[in-house]
Amino acid sequence: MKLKIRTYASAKEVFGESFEIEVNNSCTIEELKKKIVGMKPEAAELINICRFAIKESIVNDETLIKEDEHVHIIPPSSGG
Amino acid sequence: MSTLFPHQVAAEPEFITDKPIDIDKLLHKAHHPEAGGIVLFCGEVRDNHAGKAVKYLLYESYAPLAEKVIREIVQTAIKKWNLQYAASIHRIGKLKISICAVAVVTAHAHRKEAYEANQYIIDRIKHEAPIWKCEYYEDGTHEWGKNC
Repeated sequence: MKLKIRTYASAKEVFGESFEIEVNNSCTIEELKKKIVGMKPEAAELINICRFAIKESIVNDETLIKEDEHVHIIPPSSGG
Repeated sequence: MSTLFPHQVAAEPEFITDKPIDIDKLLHKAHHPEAGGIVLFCGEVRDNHAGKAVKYLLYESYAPLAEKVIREIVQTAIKKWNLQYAASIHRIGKLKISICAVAVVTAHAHRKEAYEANQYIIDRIKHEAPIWKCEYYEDGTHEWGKNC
């Protein structure tokens, strides 16, 4: 299945604002991270410190991603 | 004793905005007959960072999640300190030096709790809300903020 990924801040500079990635069905966040790092090894450190979100909620590594869900890559916060 | 609004959250919650933050309005809403201490924190754009001259900041957010996160933080503080009122607004977009980027207001019967709750709210917002700042320097370079 094809996933739509939305990025922000420093992740946006590396990947662009959004991109699509082809993954197996029943892909977890952890598997998605590996796939993204495989695509851009230089972003491994950044990906490892990012949180991930689906439908306005932070998800963990074990979360299964469903088809058509948008995954948001959330770099460490720096507001304030 | 107020029974109508024992734990009052802002009537029209607005936690993220791309407009200037109306400090007077925020402070005005915090007035409460049982509140003897009102604390207002404003985080403003500083003209330097790590020895570099800052020209302006650009704030970005994942707004729907940031709204949700800040709402939870404010509501938790209201319950934890039994505040009469609390609210917070974070601005996004391009902000020049000395412009208010984030404001937090807390109202309590006594100042100690109002200060503590205010610091709790801003500390958690900075660490947890999906909001990011990019510093644009006078030398033409820019850098996204690291976790603060």
